[in-house]
Amino acid sequence: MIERCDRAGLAAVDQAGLSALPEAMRALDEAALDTMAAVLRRAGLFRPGVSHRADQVLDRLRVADRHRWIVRGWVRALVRHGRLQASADGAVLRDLSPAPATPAPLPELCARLGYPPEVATFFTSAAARLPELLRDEVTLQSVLFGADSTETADGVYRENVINSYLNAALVEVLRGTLPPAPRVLELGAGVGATAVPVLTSLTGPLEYLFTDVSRYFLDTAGELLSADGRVRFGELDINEPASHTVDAGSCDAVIAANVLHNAIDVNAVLTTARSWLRPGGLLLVVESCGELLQAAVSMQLLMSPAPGRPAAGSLDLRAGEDRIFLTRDEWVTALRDNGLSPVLDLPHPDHPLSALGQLLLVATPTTPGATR
Amino acid sequence: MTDTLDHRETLAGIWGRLLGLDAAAVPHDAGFLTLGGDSVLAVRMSAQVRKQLGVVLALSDVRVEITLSELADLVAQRASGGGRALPVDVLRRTDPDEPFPLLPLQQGYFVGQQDGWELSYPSAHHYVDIGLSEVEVDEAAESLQDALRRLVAHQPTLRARVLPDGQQRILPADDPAAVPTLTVTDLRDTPADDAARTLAATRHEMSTNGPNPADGPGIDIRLTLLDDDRARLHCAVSLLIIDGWSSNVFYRDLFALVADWNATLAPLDVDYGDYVTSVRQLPGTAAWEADRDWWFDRLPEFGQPPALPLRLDPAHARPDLMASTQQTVDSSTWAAVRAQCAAHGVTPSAAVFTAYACVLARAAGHRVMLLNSLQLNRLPLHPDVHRIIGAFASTMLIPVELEPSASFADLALACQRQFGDAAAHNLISGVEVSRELGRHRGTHRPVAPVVFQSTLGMDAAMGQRLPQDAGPLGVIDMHDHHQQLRTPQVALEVRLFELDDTMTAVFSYVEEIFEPGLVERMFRELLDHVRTLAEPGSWDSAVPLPAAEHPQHSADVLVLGGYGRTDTAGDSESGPPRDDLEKQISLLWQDVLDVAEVDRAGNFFAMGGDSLLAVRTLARLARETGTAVSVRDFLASPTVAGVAARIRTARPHPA
Repeated sequence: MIERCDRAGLAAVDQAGLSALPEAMRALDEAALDTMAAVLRRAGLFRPGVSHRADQVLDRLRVADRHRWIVRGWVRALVRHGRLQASADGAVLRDLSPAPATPAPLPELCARLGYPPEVATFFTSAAARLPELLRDEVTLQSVLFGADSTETADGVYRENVINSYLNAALVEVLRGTLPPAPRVLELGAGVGATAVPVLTSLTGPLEYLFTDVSRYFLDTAGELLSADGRVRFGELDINEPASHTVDAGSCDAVIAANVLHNAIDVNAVLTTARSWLRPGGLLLVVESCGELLQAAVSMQLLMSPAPGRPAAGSLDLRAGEDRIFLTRDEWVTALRDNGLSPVLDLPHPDHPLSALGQLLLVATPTTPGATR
Repeated sequence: MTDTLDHRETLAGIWGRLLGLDAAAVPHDAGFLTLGGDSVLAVRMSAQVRKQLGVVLALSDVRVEITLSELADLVAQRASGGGRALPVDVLRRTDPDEPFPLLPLQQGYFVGQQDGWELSYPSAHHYVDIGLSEVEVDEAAESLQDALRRLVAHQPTLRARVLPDGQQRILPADDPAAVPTLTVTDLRDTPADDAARTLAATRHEMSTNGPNPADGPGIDIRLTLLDDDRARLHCAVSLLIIDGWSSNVFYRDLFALVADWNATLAPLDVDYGDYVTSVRQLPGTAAWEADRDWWFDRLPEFGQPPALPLRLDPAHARPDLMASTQQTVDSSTWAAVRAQCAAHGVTPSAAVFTAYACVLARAAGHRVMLLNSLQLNRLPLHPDVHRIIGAFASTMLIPVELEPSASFADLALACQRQFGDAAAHNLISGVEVSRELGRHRGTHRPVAPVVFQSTLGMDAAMGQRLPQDAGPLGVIDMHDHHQQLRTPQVALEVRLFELDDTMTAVFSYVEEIFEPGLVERMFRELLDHVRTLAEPGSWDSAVPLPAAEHPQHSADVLVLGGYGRTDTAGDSESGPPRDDLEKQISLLWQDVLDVAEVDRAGNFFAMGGDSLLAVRTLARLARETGTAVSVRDFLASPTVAGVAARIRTARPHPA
């Protein structure tokens, strides 16, 4: 099945530019490091010969409590990539690398990565507003959805090479395994970047429960999908068991695309998701894995907890590590630990597409029928 | 009021649709978040407001906590407001006696009053005396003192004091020290020669000893009575608390009160302290940061100040006074100049600025320059702002690039554009930009000591003509005036103002640093050029300009701005602090500069310090070590090692 799904995914993307992807991704990471350094430099930090501690950096930028993990992550990334020097104990930082002579060509890099132009625009606008974003004076949502259109969000979530690949592979998994008239639950369905291709490809009878934590997405998707009588909508917060009105063992498939990293405890969420699956049902997870520095200066601002709420990962292996994404190996382990047997993970680690840091994982309950 | 109510209905409709509620059931005092909204819906809401009401809300305006009432107010405010919305409001402070910070230019003047800075004076002030005739001699002094008392009650800034730590506060209106005392000199029946000598002495004294709000009123006012019912009104005001525009407000209010015992001035809802407290919240807002980035991104391209030939390094000058020279362009010539300006689409200010820049370029031998300007800088945060006396003014840097062989009209349009671009980013002051430029260039010497100041067109725009009749003080003849300016960090400054349809240009300059005759020559050239602008043909011909873009002088020729870096480590060796004293200084600097480690040879200013911080740090150091280091010594070596060496030298040697 793995090979069939991989082929289906590859068939959905233009092969020509694939080998150049890792290099373009590396350049996008470099651009993100430039962006981080520029925010620090513009705040008057790390003038030549001047040292600061990480807390002085965060205080100078007046980073909102909920976003502080992001800037701590930047500092570590800058040190790891040699853009900032740390003392032996890591406490004192100095020698921030100077601004590049020419700014990175974001539109060109994004084009090479198969992103539509709106994504480069989004990255640029987010970078320009980072000080305000970090202070929580402006939300990333307003940058992402600012023009009262979902074009930018569509570009980020839907219209790009890796998503075309992952969606095609995901559809192929469903096509090959679902029983007639299946019941599918999608978590964090957002702009419908996964639901739309699934519903377009699977034309037969189907019950599709489209859920999200935000009413905004339910409204938007309602306009988009209301013609399809197979779809129902519901509010569901993966971190709020009280909002789960799904019957145990009732689903043939649970889809979670770019949402599970928001879990406060990934183990709890995986256990719950498994409980919703009938024996032999499938959990299909799309996730980012790896460093993804460009996300650290853009999308990660969506992933900070609301004030007073626990942070994503604060009750699992990510606790205290100021990171949001699990690695591929960590996902595989987490699935196993929570009674889910991995069926496949794509793209293949040695394929150029894997440089984009996005992954499809499919798993099935290890102990059919068990509920906890 | 009806507008706000109407908006509420529309807004309730928008909320209802977004939140799945009945519009009539949306409570007006509950936050968007508590009604089920979230940040994404808030964005959608802003978009709906724009679509339905045509009002654009800033992204930062609409927080998820906002209530429908607050949103309605915000929409009403944005719908009525022109220009860009400033992200702060002026509110009355709860405690009007509380100290408040100095604005950047005030800081500049404050530290400029501490000896040791280049081109500094014990007081930064403006002095003027004005001729009065038909004075009611018996009543003049008493009515003037009474008017002064009432004005001080009306204008709180006149009661302001500057504190040693670089803050300011306003004395209560009933404080005995609040009202300046009028000094009257009676020179009636005094021989003309003696009277003239006494007047000259008063002028000299008031020009060289300005009022200092650190230890008394920021204003010194005197009346000299002369024969034939004439008099002169002398006034010296500290620029630290009263700017040029405030002087207009001051005289207008003062004369109105003198003219009428019963006059009451329209009350002011906010005072200068309220304004400053609000404006000090600007740094750190996105709007301020955008302006800061606009300027800081351009620093590397900025030119040098005009490399005017000098005979004395300004660092070694100890001026008492700035020299000044002034000339008036008559009303018919000035009307013709203004007509030509209008025909060419430039303001009279921009035209004279361009002529000034051309004169400077020729004298300096280069045509890419950095000039400075003094701006009124009253941000329109409250309707009373233009009626308040205070130190609102700020500097604004103006990078100039004069195109060779361009017509004067084209040069003026380019300068006007340059001016406009700079003014559109005025939330950060020129003082702050200059500090950063100094760090960038590794110098703490003045980066833009050549200044332009113009109030052309402003009296008309603001309806601020002074009355000619001031009751017992008689008839005021503003044309019969004598003035004197003393501003720190300025080598040469031109001021332009209009009086009864004439235009007056004044040069104030530090005479002892310039080649003799140079400034006078430049002044004549400027006035000649301005007068030719009355002729249409003069606008189309090319202006003679030097070919060189940048200063072309050899290192041994002394020119304005042609100094080396001052941030070199000097003779101290780089490295961690060596002894307890160096460690103590280093710890203090870490605290005030917000840095983690301080190299013993690291420069205080390069590390982000500024002049006010330096004064405060020296005061703290004196308290902590028991030894004072002067600003002058500090500037000579602003490093941990340098300061430690000064302290060791100053201390008595242990036996």
